[in-house]
Amino acid sequence: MIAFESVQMILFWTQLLAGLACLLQTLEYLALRSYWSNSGPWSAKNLSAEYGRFRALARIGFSQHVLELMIAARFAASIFLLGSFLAPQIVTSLSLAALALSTLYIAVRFRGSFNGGSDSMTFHVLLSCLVASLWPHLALTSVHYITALVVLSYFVGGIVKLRSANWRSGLALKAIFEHSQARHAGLLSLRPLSANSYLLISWLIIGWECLFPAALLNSSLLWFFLISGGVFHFANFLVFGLNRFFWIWLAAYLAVYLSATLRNGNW
Amino acid sequence: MLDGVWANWFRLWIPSWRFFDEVGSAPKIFFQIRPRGEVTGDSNTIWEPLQDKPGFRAIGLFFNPSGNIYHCRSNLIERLALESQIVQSTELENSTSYLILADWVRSNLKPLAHDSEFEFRFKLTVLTISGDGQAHDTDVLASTWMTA
Repeated sequence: MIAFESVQMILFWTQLLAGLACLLQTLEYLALRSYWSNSGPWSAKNLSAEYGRFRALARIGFSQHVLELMIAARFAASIFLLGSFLAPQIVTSLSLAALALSTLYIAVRFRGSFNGGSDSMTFHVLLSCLVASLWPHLALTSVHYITALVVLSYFVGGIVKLRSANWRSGLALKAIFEHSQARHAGLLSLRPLSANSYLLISWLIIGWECLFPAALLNSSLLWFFLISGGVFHFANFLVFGLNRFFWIWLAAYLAVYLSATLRNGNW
Repeated sequence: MLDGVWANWFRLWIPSWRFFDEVGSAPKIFFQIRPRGEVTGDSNTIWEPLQDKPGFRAIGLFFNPSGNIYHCRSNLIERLALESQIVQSTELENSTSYLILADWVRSNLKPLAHDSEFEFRFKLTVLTISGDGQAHDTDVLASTWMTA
């Protein structure tokens, strides 16, 4: 029987890393003020255009001032979460709630999400930690929920790629590396690889993603997949600048570690 | 239109696990610019690519606002490319995706105009890959001339 304190310790560090991820995200939102202010492209005026009879309400809800308040709350909540070992539990719970709500608000304001999958994982990690903080008897369930999300994020992605003829042939990867607008300029301007190289890398990615659930089988596989996963997300940052995925998946990996360790009876 | 809008409220709740599962349309933006009031005929077919892709910085692992807003913009123009297949052009020009992108292009072109008044238009292309693996840019939509 796992000690309650052990689950709380894992959740504590997950919260800490999630708080760091949110703080970094918040600083980025602050730096992007010219894009979401009333005179920027993502202005409330432009966003409200698709709300029909709710246009006036959307214009108020998505105004520059509301987003400024949300970002300020987010900044404070991130700091409180990072210092949660000094604060009472109620402060931690309120911080998690504020971060989850502000993540949801920003996603809606940017029409579904600002940064795709990292927003979704951030939201679900925060929500899980919030549930665990409010109902401690659900802490282990929250941990397993995060684990399920991480495992499925790779496994489903792998299966989808496996079913894609473009991925099986290496064509999809070639298109991503050579034509994708998401690819960074500068340091890692990748030179075209051979067709066989694209094929090999494609199947490595497909295999790794499809086999990720095996991380739960034993500790050797666990460490292999977690470390290679970290390398994978770091590589995605190097090539595509996707820094947010690195930090929030790092936070979520702690849950995978606990779930796998419990399953293998090594705790 | 409202049904699509409400989807924005639920997208975060449903994890998306389709990262790079398709070749992707790799949309690009091109623009033309002219002094305000100048009339340019249809013979002006020279389009310049909008070069606003951020470079790599190591600090970006911690702080990468330019990279993340660029990705956000990429998602926007993919969405606009999709919407252009569904709605009429007159409705498209009043859509949120179009308005955001037009403002984005406008703000990127202002430095090029050196504070003088100008007009601009943009076009969106998507990448299509033929059976032999060759990539081609295909025009998806072109805006009317707009003032800065």
